[in-house]
Order: sequence, then structure tokens, then C-alpha cells
Amino acid sequence: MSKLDQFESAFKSASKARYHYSNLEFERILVVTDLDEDAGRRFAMDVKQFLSVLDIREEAQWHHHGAKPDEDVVALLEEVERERPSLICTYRNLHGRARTYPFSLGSHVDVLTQAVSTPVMLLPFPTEDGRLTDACKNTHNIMVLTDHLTGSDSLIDHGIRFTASGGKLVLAHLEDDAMFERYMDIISKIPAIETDVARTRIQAQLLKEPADFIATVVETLRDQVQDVTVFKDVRMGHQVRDCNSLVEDHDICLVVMNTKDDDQLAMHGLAYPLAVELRNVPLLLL
Amino acid sequence: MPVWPALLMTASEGHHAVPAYVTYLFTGILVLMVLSLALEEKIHAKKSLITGVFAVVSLFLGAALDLLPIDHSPGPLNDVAWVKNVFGETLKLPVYIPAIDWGVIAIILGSSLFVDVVSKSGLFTWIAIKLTKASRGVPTLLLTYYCVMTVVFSALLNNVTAMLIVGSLTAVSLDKLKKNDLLLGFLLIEGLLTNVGGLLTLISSVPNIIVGNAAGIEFIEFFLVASPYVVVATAVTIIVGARRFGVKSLKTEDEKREALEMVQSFDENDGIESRSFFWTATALFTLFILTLATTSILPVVHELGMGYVALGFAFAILIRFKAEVDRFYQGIDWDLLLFFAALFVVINVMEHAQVLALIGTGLKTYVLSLGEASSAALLGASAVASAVTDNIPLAAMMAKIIGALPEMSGPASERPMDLWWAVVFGANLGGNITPIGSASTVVAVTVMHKHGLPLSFARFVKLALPFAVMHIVLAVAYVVLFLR
Repeated sequence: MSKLDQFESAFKSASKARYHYSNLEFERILVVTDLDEDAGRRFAMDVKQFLSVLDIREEAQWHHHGAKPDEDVVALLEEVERERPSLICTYRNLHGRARTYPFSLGSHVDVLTQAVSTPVMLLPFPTEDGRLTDACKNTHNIMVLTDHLTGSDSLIDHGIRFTASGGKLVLAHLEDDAMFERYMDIISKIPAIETDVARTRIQAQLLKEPADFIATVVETLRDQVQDVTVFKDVRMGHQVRDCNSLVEDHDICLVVMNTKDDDQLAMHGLAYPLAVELRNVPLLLL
Repeated sequence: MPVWPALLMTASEGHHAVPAYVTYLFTGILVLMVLSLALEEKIHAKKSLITGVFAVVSLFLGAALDLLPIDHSPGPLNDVAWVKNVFGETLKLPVYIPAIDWGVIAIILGSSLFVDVVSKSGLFTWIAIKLTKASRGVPTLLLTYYCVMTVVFSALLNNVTAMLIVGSLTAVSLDKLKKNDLLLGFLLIEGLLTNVGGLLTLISSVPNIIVGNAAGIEFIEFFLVASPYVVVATAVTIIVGARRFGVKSLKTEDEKREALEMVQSFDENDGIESRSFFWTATALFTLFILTLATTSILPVVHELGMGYVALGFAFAILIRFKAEVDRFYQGIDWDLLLFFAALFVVINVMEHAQVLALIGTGLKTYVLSLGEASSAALLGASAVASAVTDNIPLAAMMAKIIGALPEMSGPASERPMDLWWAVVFGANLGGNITPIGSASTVVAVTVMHKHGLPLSFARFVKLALPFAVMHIVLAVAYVVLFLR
């Protein structure tokens, strides 16, 4: 490694991404169901109760769209276009017939998360009478979960906005260890690179960057948002197994994830398997 | 330097009449070596290899033509060079060993090793980032601070390390400030100032060490003489450079706030892995500079010289890494050290072949005979020579030639010191004329290329020449007006 690279690396490492806080407001909230009218209304009431944190600063306008069971996705998108909500609340397998099979989110939700820029609150499938499950009591423990936390200001802003007063916000960064091991396997076959040094230094740097970014979040929120406690959880791990573990470890009641990926039409790589797997936890999909 | 007397004794005792054709043959070899060094990039060969090959050939021809001080008389010391040490004992050494100036090698080896270990403490990056933050992201302040930092780092470390640190920081910080359009101007000005800063102290550049040692100039004396010029040349370069490359201040409050926020996101502590090592390195570095500055008056240390000081501090700081010192040995610039060693051997053979005497005669005839203008002419000639080839062979040759002038054998107060200074200024500043003129301008161009700013040889000369001429004119005026 040349000395030029050494110094440039040192300065690049010292150049930190800083978090910038933005205060979010959700003025129009659209609750979409495919239940009968009474069940749909009950569901909408439960959602409003669950997200009561949004009403504290400013009364939000809630609108319930109880669609017909066979409403196609085009009609749903037209409704979203008309309402122009700042948040859409629905549940997995909306209009889906395969809701008993835990392998997908259903085509309506798939399209909704990608076709509109509005955040989608994806809740567990409601009970037969339209009630939210016990997992959706409050938003005291929220987790922002990503494999690229550095610079994800919007994710964190949403996490803060949904955290109830006095609640806990966990900023979790999960570095995919399977991918890391694959690269390490390749590195171990290159004589010019010392494998043990590479493993230690790359792993440390991968975890240091999000940790440093979280430090700027804590610093920023100290001045601007006093009633939320931020926790850091930066680790290497398996994309799905360790996410389940993170949710359980921190007793999480809402997970905030990014689903948009500029390079593809489908949902972001980490988000889809997690959204499918975390069936009993409410998810805020950006 | 304790080695010099031995070397000179070896040299002088081996001198004898040399046929003119032999002198011209070796002159041809010297010219070929200088040309090869000038075309180093074209022939894709490292300096150490080029000079090494010429050293091997020169030694072979020198021995074959009976030019070298090899004792052929019967007895235990035949067919080798011999020198007498300080105890008067005769030492049996290969002829090329006393040809090398080990004092210079010790300074370069020790100081580069010391600086390399200190840089691991994060001290230099800490200073660099602190200055970046102090600039508040304002381009004119950033340029001023980086230029001052370049000069100081060039003076205290060496001009290549200075350019590596400041050049890489410039690229990262201007990218962060979204001022990439200023990168070329910043890097060019910094590259030029490495050679100005390289004039500030006796250890700032290899020509300074070689000429300073030969002339008997002490560290403090060197600093006091060079610093007024360095201050003026730096200030003028910053002002002219800012105008030439459109480096302006920020106008609106929004621009200032955004720039401040960007530079504040640098963390100067990021590169500090151990606080205790950081402070130890800081203390040792300060002590290193102070010791170098006072070597000439420190008892005992004075007799051991600056090479001892440099090596002593290198080993002192290496204690921190006692189990892994080999890692730092791997980082030593062996190409540079072997280049020096081989170069000293070639110069020594040239001396025996009377090539230096021939050049000295030419110099006396065409340059030193100009009277009042001789130092100006010498400075200009040294600068032009340094622009197209390495300034180290030039400094090594000129040190021998000027040292052998009859005027230099008189009392110290009567010696024409302006000639030494003319070589120092010329050898350092000549590096600013072309991109291959000095190692630090090569680094500056490398940083430019790395960041997608292709700069051809001709364009570099076009951009740099006005600055180089300005530096040389200022130096000529300074030497002629104040150092005669």
C-alpha cells in the first residue's frame, strides 16, 4: 500500500457523515383495509390508538379506505393519488388469498411500497373482528434497522417521530456476515493481502462507521429531542436470524426499514425477507 | 562528519595523474548516469538500480585503470582500500565503503524511520485536520493554512511526506466542500511550496544536508539565513496562486454556514489509536527538533552528529512497537538509501578520475569568474540542472567542487558562503520548473492524476514556470543582496 493511500485513507476515515435532524409531520393518514365495514372501522381505531404519538403535536387527519375484497391494485393506487396521504397504514397480504402462507407480503403491498413514495406502515394481519394483535399496543420501543445506517437520516427521523415520549429508539446496523465471509474467502486466496489483518481491520471499519454516525445522532438529539433515549446496536450477523434476535432482545414494537432501492424495481435486498419473516411486528417501510 | 576526514584521506592519497582520455571517459559515464536519472520515468527503472549499475561499472573501470586507492604492495592489507580510524588504527575495507557518506545516510535513515513511526500516532493528521477546521471551510483561508502547513511539514519532516499529507488532505477536504474545481490549483501551489519549505532547515532536504555538512553550516545558522526568504516566498506564492487559480472567499452567510458544517464533520481524533502514544510521539517529535537545532552545542552529541540524533530518536520511539519493529523496517525507502550509497560511490570514483576537477575548472572559468554575478549565475545554473535531473547528484558534486576551491581553504569568516547558498537555493528551487524536478512535485502530479486531473509535462511547466521564475528571482536577489 502506498503512503499516499495511507494518508488519504486516514483523512477519509476522519471525514465523518453527520446526522441532520428533520422534524416530520404526518397530517393525512390513510388506513387501507379489505375487511368488512365494522371490522375495518375497528382496525382503523386500533391503528389510531397504536399511533397516538402522531396526534400529540398536531391532530392528524385519519381516513379509512375500506376497499372491496376484489379491488385491484390500480384502484388502490388511484385512491392514494386522490388522498395524497403522508402515511399509509395497512397489513400484510392485503387482498391476498395466500395469507396463511408466510412466504410473501401480497401483491398489493408489494406494489404499494414501491409505486408510491409515501411511507407504508405494515401491520400484522388483524384478528377476525378487525382488532390489532397484542404486539401493537404502543410505540415505546422502536428500532431503525438497516445494513447501511450511515447517512440514513430519513430513517432515523421517522424512527424519532414514531417513538412515544420517554420511549427507546434503537439504531441497529446489521452487517451481513455471510457476504463478509465470502469476501474474506477471496482475500485469503490473495498472497499480497495479509488475511488476518484484513479481517480485523475491515470488520472494525465496517462497524466503526455506523457507530460513529450514531454518535452524531446522539449528539444532535441531545439538543433537539430530549424525550427519546437512543441505543446503539451495531453488529455482524445473519440477515434474518439476527434481526429476529434484535427485535426480541430490545422488545421492539415497531421496526423502521428502507424498502426503496434506486438500482432495482423490487424491494430493497434486506427489507423484503425481513418484512416477510417479521410477521408479528409492525413495520414502517420507507 | 567523522567520516569525511577518512574519506578525504582515502581520496587524496589515491589521487595521481590521470590521462585526459580517462577523465573524459568517466565524464561520459557521469553524463550518461545523469541522463538516465532524468529519464527515470521513461526507462521504468528505479534510481537505486540506475546509480547501482553505474557504481558497479565505475568501480570496475576505476580499479582496472588503477584510479582507486587500492594498495597493491605485498602484505596483509594488499588489494583493498584502507583507512585510519580515530585511534590511528588501519582498517581494511572494500574501496567503496569509505566512499559513502555514512553521516548523510544515517540522517536520512533515522529521520525517515522516526517520522514514519510518529505519523502512526496520528499527530500529523491531527494537526492537518485542526487547521482544516480552523479555516471554517473558506477557500482562501484553507489555501493559506494548507500552504503554511506544507512549508512547515516540508521543513520539519521532508518535502515528500509533506506533500503526501497535505495533498491527500486537500483532495479529501475539497471533495467534501464540493470545491473539486480548485484541486489542481491547490495541489500545484502546495507542490511548489514543498520546495520552498525544503529550504527552511538543514534537514528539510537532502541537498541541504549534503551542502550544509560540506560547508559546515549549523542547524540554527541554516534556519536563520533561510527563514526570511521562505517567509517572503511563501506569502507571495499564496497571494499570486490564489489570484491565478481563482481561489476566493465565500460570499453569502449560507455558503459560510454550509462550509463550516462540512469541515466541522472532520474528526481530528479519528486517527489516534492510543492517547498515550499520541502524547509520547508529540513530546519526542518536539524534542527531536530541539535536539537537531542544538546538536552543534550539545556536549557529546555534537561529536556524534545529526545522524546519531536521528537514529537515536528512531530507536527511542520504536520501543513503543518493540515486538513489531520489522513492520517499520519494511516501510523504509530502500530505493532512496541505496540510491544515495551508490551515488556517493560514483561521485567518489569521478573524483579519482579527476572529473570533478574538470567540472570545477569549467565552473571557475564560466561561472565563478563572473565576480559579483557568480553566485547568481551558480544559483541559476543549479536551478536549471535540478529542473531536468535529480538535485542530489548535483548537490553532491557541487559540494565536492566548491569545497575544493582555494577560496574555501581560508579563514571561515572570509569564505564566500554565497556560493554554498547559491547551490542550496538553486538545487531546491529548480525542482519547481518541471514535474520531474523534485520528488514532491511528482507526488503532487500523482495526486492530480489519481483524482482525474491529467496534467501533461508541458501544461505543468506552463502553470508552474511563472512561480518558479518568481522564486528563483527572489532567491537571486536575496543571495546577492544579503548573503555575499
